[in-house]
Amino acid sequence: MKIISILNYGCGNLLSIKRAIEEVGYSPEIISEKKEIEKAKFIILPGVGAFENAMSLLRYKNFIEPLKQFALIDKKPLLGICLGMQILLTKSFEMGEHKGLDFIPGIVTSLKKKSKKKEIKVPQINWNKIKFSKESESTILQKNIHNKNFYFIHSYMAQLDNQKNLLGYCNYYDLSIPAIIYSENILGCQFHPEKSGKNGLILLKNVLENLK
Amino acid sequence: MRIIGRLDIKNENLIKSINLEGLRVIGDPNKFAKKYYTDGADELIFMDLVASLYNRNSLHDIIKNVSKDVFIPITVGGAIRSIDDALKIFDSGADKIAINTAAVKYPNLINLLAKRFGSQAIVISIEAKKKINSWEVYIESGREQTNVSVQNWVKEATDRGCGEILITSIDQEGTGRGFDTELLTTVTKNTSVPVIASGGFGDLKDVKAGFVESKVDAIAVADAIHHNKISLRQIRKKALSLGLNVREFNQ
Repeated sequence: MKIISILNYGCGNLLSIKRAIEEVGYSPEIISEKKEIEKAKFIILPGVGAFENAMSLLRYKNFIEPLKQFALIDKKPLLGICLGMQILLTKSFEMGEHKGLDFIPGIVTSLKKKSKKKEIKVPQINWNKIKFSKESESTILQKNIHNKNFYFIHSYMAQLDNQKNLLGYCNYYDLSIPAIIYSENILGCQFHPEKSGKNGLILLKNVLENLK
Repeated sequence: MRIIGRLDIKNENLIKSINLEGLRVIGDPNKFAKKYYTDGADELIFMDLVASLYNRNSLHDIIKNVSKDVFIPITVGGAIRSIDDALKIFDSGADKIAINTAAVKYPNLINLLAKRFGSQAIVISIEAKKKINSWEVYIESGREQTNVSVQNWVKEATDRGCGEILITSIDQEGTGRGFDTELLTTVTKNTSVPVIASGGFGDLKDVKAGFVESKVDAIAVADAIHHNKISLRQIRKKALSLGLNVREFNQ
């Protein structure tokens, strides 16, 4: 059975993700060492909290180079969730300006600054519907997913350099928020599949099965 | 917009309370939590009503257990006074923490918690009692008054970086007489973060009173669902029939 490695770098809801992976029939393991990144077959990058904190933890633990090797050179499957998705991008403007992993070109920007609506509620804490763009309709990941609700909780959003990296989005006030971003073997979800009930589990299963 | 199941806990039991006073045991919170997950709750809130009193929190085991089978967000409140307390609750499987007493006593705790865990994980729980022309913030599960007005506290908590506000009307709580819409409106008007209405839900007409009249982002339901008076599915159906933006759930 495929083993799914959840990277423990001190930032994220590891247990919930672990349980969700078990629930869809895979074997999760929590990894905390550099060596384990090299051996992993499939890595999940969780993340809760602030961008700067997440990146400095990855740096402090010397995880950045092994992650680059894993995702960019060996091209093994990597799934980032919520803040774990945001750190896949080039840089973030959350409380200053901070470098990300730069696996997918783009920036992270504040919902409040991006929106022209004064009444916008931030964070978005919402079961929002995911929409897929036409070009991505053939992808395997979206089976049973289009127009379904997923749980979002975030104050910052991705802004991609290339629309080809956008798989799905959601609408919030006047914003179109990237919900699923990808590049070959790398995929990121702004929402929490492990907290999105049955649909979240279906999506997680699709990703674990098909992301290669 | 969300429909939330609220479970008030005393020791290891789900309890029925009126005006935040725990009255009697309803049953095993695990069983109820799983049922509400299956019935389409968008989130669950667990509140330890006596934790603050004894300076302890008995929710860890309950949360650990519930989060094994419940794949929706979980908010936990009761006697969280420090980063360390918060860490323990998050490690048990909570996604958000709700704080009342400690935040009122040491408001800077909100800034510290938001910085450490992110604003989105910090819910400020406000327990409010009606005065002549305003509402006063109460702490220690509605037992102690503070002389702080709800309006001012909402503004301050928002400025300090909380990610959400849970507003409970002590007067309405457990009575099923409906939301205090004036209180809710006072809160929604004074903050830019999402607001959860709690205390008083007892009839399907309260769906409109909460979401439409008071403009809250979520309603928390307790007694009405614990006693099978109204189901979560009925509430969702009602919200959808009003054209409200709630999750579609047909499982």
